[in-house]
Amino acid sequence: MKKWVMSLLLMLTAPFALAGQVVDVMHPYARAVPAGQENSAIFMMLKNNSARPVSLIKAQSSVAETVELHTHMVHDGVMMMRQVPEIQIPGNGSVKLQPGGFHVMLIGLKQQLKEGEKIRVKLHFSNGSMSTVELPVKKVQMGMKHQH
Amino acid sequence: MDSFKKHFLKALVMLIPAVALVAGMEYYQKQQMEQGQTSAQIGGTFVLQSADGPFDLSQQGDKLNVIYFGYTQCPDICPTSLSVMAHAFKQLPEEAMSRLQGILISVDPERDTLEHLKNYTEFFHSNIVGLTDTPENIKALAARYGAFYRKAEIAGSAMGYAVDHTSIFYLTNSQGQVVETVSHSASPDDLLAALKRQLKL
Repeated sequence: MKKWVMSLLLMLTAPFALAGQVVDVMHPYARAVPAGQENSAIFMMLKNNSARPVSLIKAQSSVAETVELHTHMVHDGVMMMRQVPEIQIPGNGSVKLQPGGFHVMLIGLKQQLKEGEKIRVKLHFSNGSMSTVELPVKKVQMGMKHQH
Repeated sequence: MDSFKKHFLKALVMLIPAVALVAGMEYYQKQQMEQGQTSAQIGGTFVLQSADGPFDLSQQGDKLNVIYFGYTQCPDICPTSLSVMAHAFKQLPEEAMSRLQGILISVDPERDTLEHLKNYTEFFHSNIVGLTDTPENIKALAARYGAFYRKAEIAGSAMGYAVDHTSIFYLTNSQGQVVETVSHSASPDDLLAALKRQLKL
């Protein structure tokens, strides 16, 4: 009887364990915002360990009314933000969700995202896998172009 | 003799359009040059609204202003730019702060309230003030600075609309004359270098 339960549990959890291996979520963080701010964004690096391309197709979080996938484009110096249906990760490659580019957009925040806190986001991928990620809330990180 | 007079007169009459043409072209060129000079001089003073009352650029004393056109619901570009500004400010000596004023001018005057603009800018740095006004006034001011923005409906998005906009820091003197511009960057280095140059640090 116990063996039967164990094997059932393994069967149910196996796909999740496998999913974790197909796409690695690295260095995720959400942007800290001032009080009263209605939206924010989540950034991360997605690494595809399989040879086939996989896409991030949906994200969910309880901290916001709506969670969407967005990107930024620059045309003649004009910054444009647009919703995208998916964010593709090439086979054996990676994609960066970072300021100025792809991001998971949190719209209609239900709580202020304060630095030091942690939030959770569910990521759904095109291969049917899903991963729940816990990520820190941080102020915008400034990359230095040169080290002086 | 009569025929000479006749020909001379004829030649003279024919010369008039040619002279007029050359004179006209010169006048046109001169005008163009003058216009070119005025359009090259972007910027200018302004009075806009802040949560603490009207903000008159010309009444701020002899300061270097760092002006940015953006909006608070801007999820990414504006917070990045304001962080760039804040990081650049933080790397300057304390004494320089009294000679420096950061300014966010809202390109989303319909959604940005004075109170939230104040909250928003102070979150990044206490030396940044958030300003807004009527949509018409903001549009006219942005045009004087050569800043561009437009509402963009995002189909199917809960955002409703975003605002497409240029992302540039305008460094001005107290008369609002733009002394230098710094293009969008995710690093504070370029802005910091420009600030040091203008503040002679």
